[in-house]
Formats: sequence, C-alpha cells, structure tokens
Amino acid sequence: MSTSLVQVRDLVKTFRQGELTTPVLRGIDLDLPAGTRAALVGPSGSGKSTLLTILGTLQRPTSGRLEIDGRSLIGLTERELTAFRNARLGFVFQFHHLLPDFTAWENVLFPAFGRAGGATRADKERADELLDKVGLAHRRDFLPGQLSGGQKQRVAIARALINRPNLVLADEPTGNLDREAAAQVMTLIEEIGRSEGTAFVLSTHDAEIASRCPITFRIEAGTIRQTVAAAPLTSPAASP
Amino acid sequence: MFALKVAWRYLLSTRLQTGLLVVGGALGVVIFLVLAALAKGLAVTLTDAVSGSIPHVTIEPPQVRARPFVDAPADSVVQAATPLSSTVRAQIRNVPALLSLARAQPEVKGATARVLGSAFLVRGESRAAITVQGLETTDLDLIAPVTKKLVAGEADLSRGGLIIGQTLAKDLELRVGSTILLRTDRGGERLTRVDGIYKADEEGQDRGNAYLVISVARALFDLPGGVDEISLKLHDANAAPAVARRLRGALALRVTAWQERNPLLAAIILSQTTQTNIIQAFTLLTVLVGVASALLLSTYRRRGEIGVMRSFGLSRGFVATVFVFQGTILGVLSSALGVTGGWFLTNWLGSIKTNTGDLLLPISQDGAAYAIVVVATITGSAVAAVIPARSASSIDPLEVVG
Ligand SMILES: Nc1ncnc2c1ncn2[C@@H]1O[C@H](COP(=O)(O)OP(=O)(O)OP(=O)(O)O)[C@@H](O)[C@H]1O
Ligand SMILES: [Mg+2]
Repeated sequence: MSTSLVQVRDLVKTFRQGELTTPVLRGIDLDLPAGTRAALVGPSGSGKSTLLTILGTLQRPTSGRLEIDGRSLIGLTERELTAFRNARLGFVFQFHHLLPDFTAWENVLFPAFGRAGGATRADKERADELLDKVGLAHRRDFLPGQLSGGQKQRVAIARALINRPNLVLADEPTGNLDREAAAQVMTLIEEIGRSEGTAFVLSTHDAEIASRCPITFRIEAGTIRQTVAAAPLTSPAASP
Repeated sequence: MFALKVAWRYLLSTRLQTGLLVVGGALGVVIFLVLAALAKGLAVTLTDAVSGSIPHVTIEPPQVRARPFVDAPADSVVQAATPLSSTVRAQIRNVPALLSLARAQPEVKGATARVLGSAFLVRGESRAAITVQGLETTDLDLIAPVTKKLVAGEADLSRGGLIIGQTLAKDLELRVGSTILLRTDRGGERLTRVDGIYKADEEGQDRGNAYLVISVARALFDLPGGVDEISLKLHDANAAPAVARRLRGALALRVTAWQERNPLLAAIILSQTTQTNIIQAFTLLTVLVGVASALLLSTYRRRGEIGVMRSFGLSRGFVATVFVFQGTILGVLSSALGVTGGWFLTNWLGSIKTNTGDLLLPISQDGAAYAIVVVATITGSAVAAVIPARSASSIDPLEVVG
C-alpha cells in the first residue's frame, strides 16, 4: 500500500523506567490515505497521544516501521526529523499552545520561519488567507490572551497549516471546548481538509466528533482493534 | 532576522525584569568607568606631580669605558669594559650631535644640555648650599616651569645673573638686583646678581635651586667643552622608558628614564591599576552572572512555548539563537545606558571642588576603558546567554505536548 500517506507496520512502544516497563503500543498496523480525516479513539491511557507523537516524530518507537509520504522516518537524525516536521507535519494540541507574546497573525506565520530563508511574502499572504479561512481576519493583530478558547484553537489550526503539510496531527483538539465551539472547529477541519487536501488524524473521546471522520481507528490493549470506514465525505450527517 | 525579533519580543514581554537587568548591567558599567577614571586620574596626577619638574629622559656620561683588548687579534672587535677612572671627570662632549639625535625622536618635546653642580651662595656671614643648573637661555622652562612661577624680576638668563627660589631669597634676604657671591665646588667664584625670583609649588622646595646661563656655568664648573647631562622632555611622560631604551641602544652613554629614578611611583601606580582591574573584572562578572541566571529562569518559564516551537519544526539552533540574542540585546542596552551614565557621572565627579577650590577627585576620562567595557559587556552577555541557550535548545517538545 505504497499509495498511503501514512504507513505503520508492527509499531511497538514500550516505556522503561528502571525496572519498570510499560508496554503501550504492542504492534500497530495502520494505513492512512492522503487527504482524509481519521479519528483515533480508545479509552484513556490506551496510547492515543503516544501514537500521535510517534506519528509526529516527537518520539521514536521502540520498534516497527513508520513511513509518511513515502519516507521512512525510523533512521532519521534529530535534525532531519525537525526539518521533516516543519515541512510535512502540522500539530494541533488540546491546549492551543499559542505563543502569548505574538499576535494571532504572527502565531500563524511562526512555523514558516523554520524553513531556511524564513518567511516569504507569499507566507505572509497565506497567513492572512488562513486567518480569513478560520474566520479570524478581524482578530489578526490580537494577542492570544485577547481571544476566546475556540478562537485560539482556530488560530492553532491555521498555524498547523501554514507550511502546507500533508498531515495534521491533532490530540483532542476539541477536548477543551464546549459543544458548540467543538462543532465549529470540526467543521473548520472538514472544510480546510477538503480545500487544502490535508489529511488529519485526531484523537478524541467524543463520539460525535469521531463520527464526522470517514475513518476511525480504535486503539485497545496496544493494538488497532477496529478500522471503520464511515459514510463518504459528502454526507457527514450520516453517522452510525 | 526573525530570532532577533523573537528575542526582543521576549525581553519586552517581561519589561520589569528586562529593565532591572539593564539597570543592573548599566550600574556595573558605570562602576567600571568611574573606577577607570579614578585610577587614570590618580596615575596622571602622580605622574604629573613627579615628572612635571624633572627631565623625562637623561643622558649622562658612562660609568664604564670600552677599550680594545690589547691581546686580541688585529681584525677582532673584542673589547673590555673598564671602569672609568675616578680621577677623570665624567662629562658629555659631543653635545650638538646628541641634542640633534634626541630632538629627532618623535616623542621628544625638547632637549637641552645642562651643567649641574653644587655651590654656595655667600653673603656676609651667611651662606646657603644650592644646586646650580646651567641652561641655555631659551631652555629655561623646558624641564621645570620657571617663567610662570616668577614672582619678581625677569625670567631671562641672558642677563647673566641668577634666578633663585623665593625661600632662598628670604633666607639670604636677597632681592632682585642684589649682588651675591657664588662659590662652586670646583673652586670657581663669581660675584653675581639676582635677576629673578620664582616660587615653587611646595613650600621650601625652592630653597636650594638657582638657574644660571650655561656659558657662565661652564666657566664656574670648569667644563669648557662639555656638559653634565642632556635632558629630554617628552610629550608623554609615559613614553620615557621606550625612548630611553632606544637611545641606550644607539649610544654608549648612560640613558635613564624618569621612572627608573622613581621606582616607588611606578609600583604605586601598578598596584592601584591592578586593584582597579580586579574590582572591574568582578563587577562585570557579577553583571554577567545576573544575566545568565535571569535568562535561565526565563527558559524555565518558557518551557512550554519552546517545546511547541520545536514541535512545529524550529531548530535547536533557532531556539539557542533567540537566547543568545536576548543576552546580546541586554548587553547592548546595559552598555549604552552605562556609558552615558558613566560619562556624566565621571565628569560631574571630576568637577567637584573642595572648600579651598581644588578638585576633590583626580578624574581622567579613559577612552580605552569605554571601548573595553562596551566590548566586554556585549560579548560577555552574549556568552553568559550560552548556558540558558543550551538549556532552552535541549527542551524536548514531547515533555510539553505529549
Ligand atoms: N513517558 C512515559 N513514561 C512512561 N509511561 C508513559 C509515558 N508516556 C505515556 N505513558 C503511559 O502510556 C500510556 C498511554 O498514554 P497516552 O498518553 O498515550 O494515553 P492516551 O490514550 O492519550 O490517554 P488520554 O485519553 O487520557 O489522553 C499510559 O498508561 C501512560 O501512563
Ligand atoms: Mg492523550
């Protein structure tokens, strides 16, 4: 399945603290086509965040294979992984993690400075476009402290997209929002995923959010137990 | 440069802390500059006081004489140094050549030939032991100021008379125009006239001095063709050792810098300078430790943000640069404020006068100290930021977002 954007084979993650070993992921196999949305569900402590951070190259698996966009990430150096994250991946966290000293627009633009040469004029225009897309053009020059929780999360989504990543990893992106704001953020993810062709993997405890993703990965006892291909994108309302 | 912008934004976001750091750094710079100005002021004052009325470099007859070795082969240049016989009068003979050599040195302000000797001034029953300086008329003020200290008569040696100190005049009840017998230790005797009376800075210092035109002095001290010494005054008294060394290399004569005759002064200045440098170094070190610890605290406070930056692919190098730039900016601001403050404070301190109208403190602006403190503060703060920068760049994004 080399057409997959993400390909995970027999991925194992075991935490070791002295004598104590905690096996968390015991052999994950996973394929994600480009441009789609997948929900990652499972009980608390099942390893959702762990899997997302491994997919996001923020930590390395104990064993197994991981390919994103046709590139094997297992043997890469720290420096190569940093560059890879900057170019191909975006992150949205449960807590927005915006930089408090920078305006909404500057926060969106920030990852563009990870590239050699820094942010271009085109990047700056894109930051404005993205803010417009997430409906915050009028909050462009606000500091995070002056935005609501939902607005902050929308800025964070715009920030994740500035470098046109193939894959955005979102760990409970709506976990900190009320139902309405969560639904708004989800709608935004759907729209942007479609218009930008970006794939999303988002972990959630919210069945409603999960139901809005064409694919659901259920993680249990350290393996992917269930892969549900939901109704096609065109009818997001038809959830099980 | 984006890292610079981030660094600046970080410093602005904690204005109070940044302000305190800058003020602390500036205070360190001010202390540095005031100490430098005081040390230099003291050195200048002491140097002026000691070297102001003495020659900076003296050229005197040798104490040994080199002779060809009698047994040496004809083509050899082996020479033996033999002590100059104590029965031979030591004197310098080739005066014009030496004067023109001395005057050709760029550091030399003036050079003069001097005849120096002991004599008595005899008036009736009273007599006074004095040192007589025989000088060319034009060189009267070259070694020590006389004309501007004159209190009576004329500062003109060409009239052939004596210019004597005020205390001496008082002791012997002499006035301008008085005649007096001058008897030298070479047996010369002359009835001469007081042409001028000057007053030395220090009370009594002018008790034992008399100036006389060199032609008369030669006769009185029995030196028809020579002089006792060639005396040099330099533009900068501190250049004396170098000039002396150069002339010593060129001449088979005894060449001495004034410092060699006043070793205690050099020791005092050196110890003062060393002490100042030590305090300056520790002052700057304290400032830099302050910068390092404040920035290190800020890396802890910003752990989360740094982790997030790293997660979306900003490099360790970028994070480190942000912190080094913060240190550099703190250094630039501290030194700018400190140099301004230091300039005004030293000038003000240097203008304070005591009740008697003298300056309270010897202050001399030290340009080199300004350059040193600016460079040391800026590079020092940048280097001090390296520890926090390393700590920040090693923050694992996982501990923040995982
Ligand atoms: N650094 C670590 N060292 C040891 N154990 C860890 C570490 N990180 C995670 N774990 C363990 O791995 C397991 C999975 O954690 P993870 O955070 O991935 O769960 P999760 O599915 O995201 O849970 P939640 O839904 O509550 O966020 C947990 O039992 C946790 O204790
Ligand atoms: Mg989690």
